[in-house]
Amino acid sequence: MSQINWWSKHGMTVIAVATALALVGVVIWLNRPGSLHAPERVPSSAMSPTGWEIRYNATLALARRGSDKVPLDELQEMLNEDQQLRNFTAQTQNGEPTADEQAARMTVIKALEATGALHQKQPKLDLRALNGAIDKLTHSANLTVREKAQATQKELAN
Amino acid sequence: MSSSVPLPPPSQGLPPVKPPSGKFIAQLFLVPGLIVTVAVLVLLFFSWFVGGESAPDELLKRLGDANADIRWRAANDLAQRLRRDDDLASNPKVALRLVENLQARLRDYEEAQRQFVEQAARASDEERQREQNSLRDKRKDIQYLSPCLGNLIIPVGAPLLCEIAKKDQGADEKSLALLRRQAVWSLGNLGDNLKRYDKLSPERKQAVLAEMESEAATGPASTRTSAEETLRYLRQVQDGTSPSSLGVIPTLVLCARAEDPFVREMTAHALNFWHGDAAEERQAERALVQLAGDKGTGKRIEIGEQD
Repeated sequence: MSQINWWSKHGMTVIAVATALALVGVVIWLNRPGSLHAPERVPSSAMSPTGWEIRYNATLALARRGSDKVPLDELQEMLNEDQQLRNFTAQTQNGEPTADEQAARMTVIKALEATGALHQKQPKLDLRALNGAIDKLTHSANLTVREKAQATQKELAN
Repeated sequence: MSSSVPLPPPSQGLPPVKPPSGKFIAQLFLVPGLIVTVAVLVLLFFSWFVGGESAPDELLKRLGDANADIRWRAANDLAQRLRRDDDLASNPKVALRLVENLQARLRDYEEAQRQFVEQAARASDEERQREQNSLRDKRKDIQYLSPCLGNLIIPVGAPLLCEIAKKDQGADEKSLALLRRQAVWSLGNLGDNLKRYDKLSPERKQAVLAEMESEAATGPASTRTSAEETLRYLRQVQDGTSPSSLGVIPTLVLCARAEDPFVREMTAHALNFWHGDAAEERQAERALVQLAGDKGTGKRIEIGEQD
């Protein structure tokens, strides 16, 4: 009887505390590194060497023109999502560096589109060096990048 | 005799349900409708009174206003309108007036710079500061007008933007960098916007060509060359031949060798959008291959808010 009385007195409190702990656990789990919701921290590895903005713009322009002189190593780097998250940085309100995910993913998407355009204009050009990078992008955490990578894979297979 | 507690009055039932009358329904919709209509009319009247979207002629007129803020606001408004209004952006008269305006502002600025350099040593600090402020205002006129030429969908402004982009000598390093970067950026925009011309109806394209012919024949001398070159370009596009890029690709090839890495970055971006004849295409490819190996060296000029 006394136990029942204890539960009837403190039951709601216990339930509330348990719910709060469960919520905290869920939030921590959702914000674990690598999750879809965690803000990307800037990894400690290096950004691309100086001048990458110039090289990227030029590489895209060459690919869109269908030039056989397009530097595939630069295109491969542009298709490296982790590298782009290192290159594009922004600052949080606290002044902490964080990755500018939108800009990074936009670069990857443009590189995928340029690869498709290059293949269309130069179907005989060997782009197998990019297969690994594109395949990795089909498992990206970002849906738009995944879909674009899958579409580019199909284009290159034709 | 028994004393009895008075009984409570019998509970009153709900009022009888009657179907709504026409008058009631009318009140339910008409009254709010009237209120909303009056509110909208008041808002429209207010926005007309204060000044809504101005006619293009009005904006062009304000570009020549003595008040700098009015000029800059008009140029900014026009640049925004040109981005979404294909008829305005393909209007040869508007385009050529913009070119004329920018040519005049450029001449003013260069003359003012020359005089400033000559008189700077003799002037007092106060006079020098006043002249610098005046120079900054003249520079801002060019800054606000360049994007207008970039947002057109006919390449009337290409030669003038090239002229600004090619400048690598000036009294003030930061102003030179700012104007050069903006000109290259505007060239990129113009190249991208030319695709909008392809989407115009055949009737509109004919009207544009006819008006351009008229401007080339009878327009002011200062813009006749621009009109002739643009007419030649549009006719070649219509015929399906690859026109030359009106000097844009050679200019961008020059900018690809600029000391300022930011100019090189924007040059690489602009070369995404411009195509020319066979020789120009080879030049563009060579410049892009060079830029694709760029190491980011050179003098990056930082421009702050105070500049």
